[in-house]
Amino acid sequence: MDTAAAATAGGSHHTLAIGLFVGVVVVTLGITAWAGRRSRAAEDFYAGGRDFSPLQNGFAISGDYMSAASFLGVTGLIALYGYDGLLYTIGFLVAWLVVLMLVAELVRNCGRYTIGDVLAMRMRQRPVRAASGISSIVVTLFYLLAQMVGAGSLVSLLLGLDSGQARGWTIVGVGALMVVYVTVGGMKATTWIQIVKCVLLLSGTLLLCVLVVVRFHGDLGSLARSAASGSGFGDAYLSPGLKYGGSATNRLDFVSLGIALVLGTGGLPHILARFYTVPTARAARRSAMWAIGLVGSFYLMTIVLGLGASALVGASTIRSSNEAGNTAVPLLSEVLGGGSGSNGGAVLFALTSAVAFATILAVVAGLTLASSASFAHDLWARAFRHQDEEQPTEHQEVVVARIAAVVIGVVAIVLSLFAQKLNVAFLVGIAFAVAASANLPALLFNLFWRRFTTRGATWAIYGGLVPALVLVVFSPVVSGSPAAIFPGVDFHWFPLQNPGIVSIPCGFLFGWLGTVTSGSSADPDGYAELEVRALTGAGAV
Amino acid sequence: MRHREPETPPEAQAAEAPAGDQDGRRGGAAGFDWWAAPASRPRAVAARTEAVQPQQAQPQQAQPEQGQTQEAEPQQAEVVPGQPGPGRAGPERVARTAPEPGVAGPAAPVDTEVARGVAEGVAEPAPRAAEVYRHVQAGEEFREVRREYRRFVFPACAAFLAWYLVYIVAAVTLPGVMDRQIAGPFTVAWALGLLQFASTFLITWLYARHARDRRDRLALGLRWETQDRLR
Repeated sequence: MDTAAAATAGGSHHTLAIGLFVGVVVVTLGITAWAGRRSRAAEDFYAGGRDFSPLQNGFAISGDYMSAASFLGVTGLIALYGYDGLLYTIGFLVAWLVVLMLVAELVRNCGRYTIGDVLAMRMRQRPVRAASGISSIVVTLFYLLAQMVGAGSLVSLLLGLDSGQARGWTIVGVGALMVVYVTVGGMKATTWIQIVKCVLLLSGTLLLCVLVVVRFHGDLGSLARSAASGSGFGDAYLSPGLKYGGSATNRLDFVSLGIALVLGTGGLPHILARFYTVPTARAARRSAMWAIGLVGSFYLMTIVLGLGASALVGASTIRSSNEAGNTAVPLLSEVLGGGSGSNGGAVLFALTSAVAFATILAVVAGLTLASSASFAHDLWARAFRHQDEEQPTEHQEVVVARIAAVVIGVVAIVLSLFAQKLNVAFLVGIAFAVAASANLPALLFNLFWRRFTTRGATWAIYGGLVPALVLVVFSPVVSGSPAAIFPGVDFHWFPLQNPGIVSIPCGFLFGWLGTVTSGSSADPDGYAELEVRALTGAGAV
Repeated sequence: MRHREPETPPEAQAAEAPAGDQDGRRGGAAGFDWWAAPASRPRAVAARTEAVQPQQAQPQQAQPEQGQTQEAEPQQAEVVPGQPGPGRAGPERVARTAPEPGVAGPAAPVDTEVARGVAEGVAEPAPRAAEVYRHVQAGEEFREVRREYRRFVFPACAAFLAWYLVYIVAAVTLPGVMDRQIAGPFTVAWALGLLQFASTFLITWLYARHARDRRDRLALGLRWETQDRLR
């Protein structure tokens, strides 16, 4: 009797979850169809017509940024490791100051659709577009892999289909959906999907947060104490060092990750592309401010959720469901709704799962769009062309971008199927490290250093990208540790998991070295144009 | 003639007035609607009409008030040495286009990146456009915008990056300090972590306020002015 009741309850909560998932898919496809009929020009496809308001764009940026890794992964880390999970949220938030002050307005004023546009304003465009196009695609592919691998394991887990095949089909389904969003709807559809998803995510988080606080009668101290006892670590749970303590290497690894998180956001192509969807630099600033407010409040709420999960669900239950803690939030919502088997629990569980699903769909769409724009606008239309060749029309460029979205979607699906064992948080950390090493140095030098040259720009990009990738290949992530991709072999010599602490200085160093060894000096007219346009917005599209 | 001095618009000359940049700032905060300024209106007028009173806006040249003083500055900087005529512009112009002697300027165009860009088929900005940008860049008004921007952003970035680095290094190396309890179960580490949130929000607010009060009005005026010259 008991088992039968549990089985029906389990069945119904999965049915409800599946129903909500279908609802999310229908709504997003509806948005795509609606936006697709309205976008024709390249401006619509890449930049959503540039007529979003700062508030809308602020929500869309937050939607792009608060991925499943944040909602599920970081909350899980806080639930399992307490204070060390909090360190992640701080890195993710503080990074926005770099974007707000150094990048958002200037990039909005100088570029059209991609990072390559900003560099090409004062550099020879073929080499810098080739370099920035390649690095942008690498960064977005890593990020995309993280999201899709996460999607596979989470969706199958949430739907109770815990088999390799179900996971594979989930990845294929998510990949197919993201290709449809991007090819049919372009930036306009992607932006609206982000906005809807962000509203869903914030309301879901707020609801759970309020329920947790009410459960503890508003006493955060007793919440923290219960979380500490639920975690099984006692007081150590509320202090740093649970995950990143111990050996010096482990601690250094954390500092490396922290630097990569803070500097990486400013080089993420899908975040920078968002600033082109508003009309002016001031609107870009205000959307960044909205994003900081929304992202900041979201992370403050995830701290409460993480502590709540540890206190109400218990670390051992979370671990037995998912070793990395990725299911902490759904489990918490079930408890808050009245526990497993109750109707309230089933409804809240299904709602949380649907929010997580919407999150994954929205983020992969934004990533696919950014990488297809890099390919079509930077590589195909400009970098891969001889000087005497005719420029393709904007229409041709958009057609190529749509084809590129399909190809990138397929590549991401195939890679994700092979990468299912990789850790999601690790992949996101690599994406941030590559973005910080390859894109950010070139971007900052370009904006602020008068003497920066084309050679400096290409050296900065490749000089950050190559060390970052090489160090990852020879890190314990790939070989030589039980959790590695190839646990059987050991060819690692770099001790850290995150390459940021070495590769980011490499990017800056090579940018400087390439510039001072350049045969030709920087073009003063180019810098005058860039500086005037960046700070005043003259000639901005 | 390749290096032609961009003509100083007569209304700007007429608007010459004692430069008082405090005035521009004071008017900067309130009643300034960015969205109402279309690019097609004559240079910087759009920005000004928002700032000055409607009855003052009518005789524009005669009103050395608020934003106008600002707009007039670059021309002023240009004409200060003498008459703004093609005859006098020669030496001045050379000094501007080649700020570093020995480094490739217009005199040795083969070496510069633009020259290579041309060889490669990159669309080079017309010489006239390049000159307008150089002219604006050298102007006092633009230098003011840049100074204000850098004066806030560089120290603020250095400060928050240092504070963040100190925080994460302390979190992994100083357990003794971080574990000290402050309120209930919460330790120094929690206080510092929440302070990171607070400082992020605070810097965001300060930056926005600084940009709005010190840069936006000036930058928008320069934008329309530059675009008008480029037309």
